[in-house]
Amino acid sequence: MNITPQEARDSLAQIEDALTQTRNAIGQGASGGILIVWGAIWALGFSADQFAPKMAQSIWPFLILGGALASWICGARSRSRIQSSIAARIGIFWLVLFAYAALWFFLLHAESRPGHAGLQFNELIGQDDAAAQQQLGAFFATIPMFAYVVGGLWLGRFFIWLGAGVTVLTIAGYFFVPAWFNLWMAVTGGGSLIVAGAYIRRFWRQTYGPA
Amino acid sequence: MAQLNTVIHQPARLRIMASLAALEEKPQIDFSTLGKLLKLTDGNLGAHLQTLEEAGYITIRKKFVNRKPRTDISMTAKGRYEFAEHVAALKQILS
Repeated sequence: MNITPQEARDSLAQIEDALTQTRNAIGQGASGGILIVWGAIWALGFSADQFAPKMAQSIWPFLILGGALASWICGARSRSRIQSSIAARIGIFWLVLFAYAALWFFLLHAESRPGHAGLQFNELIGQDDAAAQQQLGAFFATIPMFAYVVGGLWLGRFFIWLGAGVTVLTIAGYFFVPAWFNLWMAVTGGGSLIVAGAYIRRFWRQTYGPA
Repeated sequence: MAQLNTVIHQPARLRIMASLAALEEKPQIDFSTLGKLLKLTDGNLGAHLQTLEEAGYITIRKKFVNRKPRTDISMTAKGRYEFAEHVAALKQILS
């Protein structure tokens, strides 16, 4: 069988196109539902930070655990249509990131280390509780957004725009509306995730039909 | 030297194999999702899948999920090898 270089080039382009479409489908499969869940969690958690900061400390752990469980269910449901080791690796990646965030939450709140005097985060940076809490909030909000930007390099530009957009919104809120930062995060951050999730879900259902 | 594969080279089958290769290890995709992904009609997709199955490059498994019939497509080790050979042959033509 002989083909021209142009035919070979066209075939390789078709392969690349099919690979990209399939990877995008894997990335989008579960993420619509997951983004909606985490958007709602951000909206609830940051609203609690704004209006009931003391209560928020006990609300966040339940929200995060609930979100992790709901994300796992969304991932398991999407596996029924496309099964791939990539999807499994995405799940493991989020677990590792979750552990990383939990580790930093512990380190920043640890009052002391064995044999050494230690300071809480807000004492260390010499600011009041609210400001330190906002810095923590901004830090933990940008961790998953960083992951979306990096993941978007493989799974589609949509995730790069989402991660970069919410990161910019977080920084803008932190510097320009400090008094209402948590409400800003609830509305713009949580809202962006919900809108992005709804968009992906609609696109997925229009393209592939209901799950 | 890698050889072009006449079964895989047909454009629709090339895209099917590429799509299955993108799923990496232990891949599996259902018939309707694959058809919509590659914008192929059910009849067209079915015919090409049959050709690939006869060549031993894919396996087709029918089952019921929530009382609805579903057809799952997987790539075999032979199919993965032949697809990689075909891609290598295409690249050789350009180099």
